[in-house]
Amino acid sequence: MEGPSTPKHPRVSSIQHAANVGRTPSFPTPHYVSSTNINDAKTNLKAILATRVSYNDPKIVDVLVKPDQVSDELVKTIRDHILGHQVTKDFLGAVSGQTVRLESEMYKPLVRRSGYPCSQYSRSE
Amino acid sequence: MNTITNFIEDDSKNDAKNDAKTDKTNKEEDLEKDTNDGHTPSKPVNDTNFAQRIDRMWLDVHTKIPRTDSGLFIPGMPTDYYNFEESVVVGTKRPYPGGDDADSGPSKAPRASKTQQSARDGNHKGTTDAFEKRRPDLVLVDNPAQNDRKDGCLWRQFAVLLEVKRDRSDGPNPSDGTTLTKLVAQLADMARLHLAARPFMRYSVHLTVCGAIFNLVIFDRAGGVVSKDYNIDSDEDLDIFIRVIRRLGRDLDAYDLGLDRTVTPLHSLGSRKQFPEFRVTVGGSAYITQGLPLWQSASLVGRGTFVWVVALEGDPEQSGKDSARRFILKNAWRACGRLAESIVYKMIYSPPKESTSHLTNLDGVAKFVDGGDVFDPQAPNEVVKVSSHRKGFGGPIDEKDDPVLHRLVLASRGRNLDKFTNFSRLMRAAKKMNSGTLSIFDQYSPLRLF
Repeated sequence: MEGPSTPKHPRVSSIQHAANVGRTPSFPTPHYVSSTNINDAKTNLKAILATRVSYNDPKIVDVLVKPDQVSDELVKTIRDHILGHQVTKDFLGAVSGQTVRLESEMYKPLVRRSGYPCSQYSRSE
Repeated sequence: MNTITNFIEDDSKNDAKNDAKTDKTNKEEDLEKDTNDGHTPSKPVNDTNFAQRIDRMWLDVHTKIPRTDSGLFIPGMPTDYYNFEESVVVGTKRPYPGGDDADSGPSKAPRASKTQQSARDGNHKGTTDAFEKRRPDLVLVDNPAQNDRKDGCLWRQFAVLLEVKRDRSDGPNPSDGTTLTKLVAQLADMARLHLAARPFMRYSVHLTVCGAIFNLVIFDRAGGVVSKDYNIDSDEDLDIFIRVIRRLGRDLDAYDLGLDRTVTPLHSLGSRKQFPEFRVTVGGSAYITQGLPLWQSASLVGRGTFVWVVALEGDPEQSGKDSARRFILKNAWRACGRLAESIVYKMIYSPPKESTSHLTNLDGVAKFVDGGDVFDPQAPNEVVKVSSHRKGFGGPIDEKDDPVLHRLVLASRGRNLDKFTNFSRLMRAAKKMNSGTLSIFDQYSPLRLF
């Protein structure tokens, strides 16, 4: 009797996990950490996107958002409102001068331990 | 931002078109309320296209970690299992994905706690690390209904993501015009999650505000486009900023913000309880997606595959059965130079005549129903490509590297391995899989094709 026409494959000595063969499982598994590793993601994205991003595009806002379709009257009203308030003006001045304070300079950030019930959560950390 | 919102709401003169849209939206909301008992998910209202509803608000989410729906696993994104975390305020966000050095990068300080810091450096506590770095500062979200609002938000509710940096030097445009900036890498990482969580998107829209410089950025399956710098110090660019914010929040519908124009959402895109169903046309038939996708790609550049269980629209009436027939829908961007998957299926199911005598066992192969490239409703003779939505901006896309939107419907649905309760059934399934593989191999082995 003639055997199967498919070539023989080497025996599988160990089972590869989905993550090891590049697939994404449909549920959380031990590979979860590695698949969410932000440094890996950054490296991959840098390599992939290096030649795929267009910079300084002059037309994307006009084509995609069409800002001209907003009435001049509305824009003027909002601009006057923004520039008419001292607080807003001061803020814009700080933005312009890059002197806006960082959050960490304003107050001690509340620290969270992800995944812990609220009862174990301490603000003093 | 609230000030701007108030003005927008009070403005009655702007855009008669928008007023008409708002009227329509209000009517649709009334219809939805009529069909919603407040607890069960709203039923789709006939002839309602929720993509054209424009009801959005800006949310400051930089102290919260956005989530995805319970049961939907996307690497890099926490699910909605643990609601107790929702109200917890987290520390200052570190702005770049694993910045190369601490000195030149972040304009926001890293977390001070050593314990927390170690959890952010990719060790075994790295899930927290990944999630915390992957959250935008502000987001424009599709508003859920009043009775559907909860603390926190889901990635799929995001229409636009906004990232804020203190220094203008942190902007997305590189000084040399070519090198990928840290901010673009960070945005791209969030864009891939956004495209995975919000189904049927052609591109993801982002705003950046770095010092007084703002930019618009989009990412799609072929890469990204960054606008030129606009400086809100100048009156002209401040006007453009106001116009952009207005357009994004009040005028542009979900299609304008990236949703595929060939699908129709049948529920609010902002609904918290109800994962929206979509009406998708393939060939001459329309299908309705059922629940969460079975699988979705989490990569940015590439096929961006989504796999759904779908029901044939109008099927119960025609067939006289209680429920519609279920199929599998695969929605993916294919490389234009490669053979379409639907053609491969057609080849498999159209074996050469001389081989039909002994090679017709396709029992283990998914049964092809319909499929092909998706045609653009705005240009009926053209298939949907990445270049379709980049007309008028962005660099030229290489014809060989211009992904084409492709869909196919299959009649066979597999079953998760953990759903098998009987060993003999599992073995029969394995045998079918094996027989299908052999059949395809025999029919279309290289010796037969060439």
